[in-house]
Amino acid sequence: MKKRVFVLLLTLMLLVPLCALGALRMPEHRGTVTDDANVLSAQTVSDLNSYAQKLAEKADVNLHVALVHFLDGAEVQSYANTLFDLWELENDDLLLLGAAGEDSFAAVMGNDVQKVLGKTNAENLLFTSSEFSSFFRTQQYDAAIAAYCTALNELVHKQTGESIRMDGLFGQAAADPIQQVQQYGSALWSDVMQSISESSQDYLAHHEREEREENGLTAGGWIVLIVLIVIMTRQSKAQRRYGQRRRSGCLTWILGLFGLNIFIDFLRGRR
Amino acid sequence: MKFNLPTWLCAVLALVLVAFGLVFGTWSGYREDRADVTALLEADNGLMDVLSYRAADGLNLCVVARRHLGADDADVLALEQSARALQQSTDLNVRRTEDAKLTVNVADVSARLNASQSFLASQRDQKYLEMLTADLNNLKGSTAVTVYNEAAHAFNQKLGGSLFGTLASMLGVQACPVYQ
Repeated sequence: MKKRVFVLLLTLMLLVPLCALGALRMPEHRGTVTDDANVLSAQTVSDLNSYAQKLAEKADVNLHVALVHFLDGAEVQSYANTLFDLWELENDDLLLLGAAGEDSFAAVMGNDVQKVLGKTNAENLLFTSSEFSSFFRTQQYDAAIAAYCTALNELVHKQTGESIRMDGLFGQAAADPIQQVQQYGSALWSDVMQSISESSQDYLAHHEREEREENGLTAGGWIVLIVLIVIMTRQSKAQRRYGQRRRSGCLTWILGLFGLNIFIDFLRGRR
Repeated sequence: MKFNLPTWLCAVLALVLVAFGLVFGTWSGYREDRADVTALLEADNGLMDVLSYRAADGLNLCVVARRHLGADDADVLALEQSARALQQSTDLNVRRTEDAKLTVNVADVSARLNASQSFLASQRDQKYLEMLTADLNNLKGSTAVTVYNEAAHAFNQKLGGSLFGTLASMLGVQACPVYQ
């Protein structure tokens, strides 16, 4: 029974989407770009992937961009910090989080990134060093990302002397007008609903299986019972045949089930 | 030296062992059954989490509503209060009350938004309201709620409606709180 409870709990845990943390629903890490809000164009996602690869090679900074609709009541910096930990990002990682439905954003960076870029410099990229904030707050998400990456590139050059060629990256994004959110839905929320449903179904299946198993004796149980009755009958006959004196056959059997017959025989000096 | 154990002592020993087996088996069996039901309540994506997600949607709606109704609007504040209370409470009875308040507050805020000109001019926020309302309804009607209720009800019936259930209650196994 304990084993079954353990298996049930383990299954329930495994069914949980990895990123549902307490009351906060957080997206699973999907690489450089995790756009659960569906606000970035395919071109910007492609440009971000290309730029992030160059950034990692030249400056040893791994850029991650996460976009969600809402923050489930959390402060944006707190949500970003939790996401950074949840994704197990490390010292050379830089996470840029945006909540499209809340017009809010934050960045979290590991210690090595702080040393390379300077913490304040890197934080300023969101506000004073680029037009990221004004673009983001007016729902120009592609343009916001373009502005951020351009400013980040300049900062990397200034701090490390490394020059990363943009080669026309984000050119389209900068030219685009205000974007509409392409799809109002969240894969994350759908995944959570799916997990809730699967957890319940798993419990029902487990419960049904348990009821079936507990409903009377199983085939194995009947076999064991028959074997026990046969042994008991044969033993009683043997006792009568050899005239062996016992205080009570039935009680001996009850005690035998607990293994006490051996103990009692030992006390009586028969073993 | 031979040591004859009288029949009555054997019988008493056997009865004591059988009684212990019954008592221990009843207690541990009911305790484990209760743990199964409690897992539906407290495990990840259990009923408690479902209620927390509803609270989170309430707070998300506050963000949208404040863009049109203002930061200090009474209906928005009431929604935020019930959502925070729902999110923070660990007591199922309190959560049930706060969730009922949340439902009413969401309806109030939605009605206010639909009467707001700026909201009607914002296609984005109309879509967000639609999305949040749909998620709130999905969570409310999710299987986690019904399955937990049925499991808790069945366990409580088993606990209160049989001899072994009464024994388990006397041994400290408690009934499960019912949500609905």
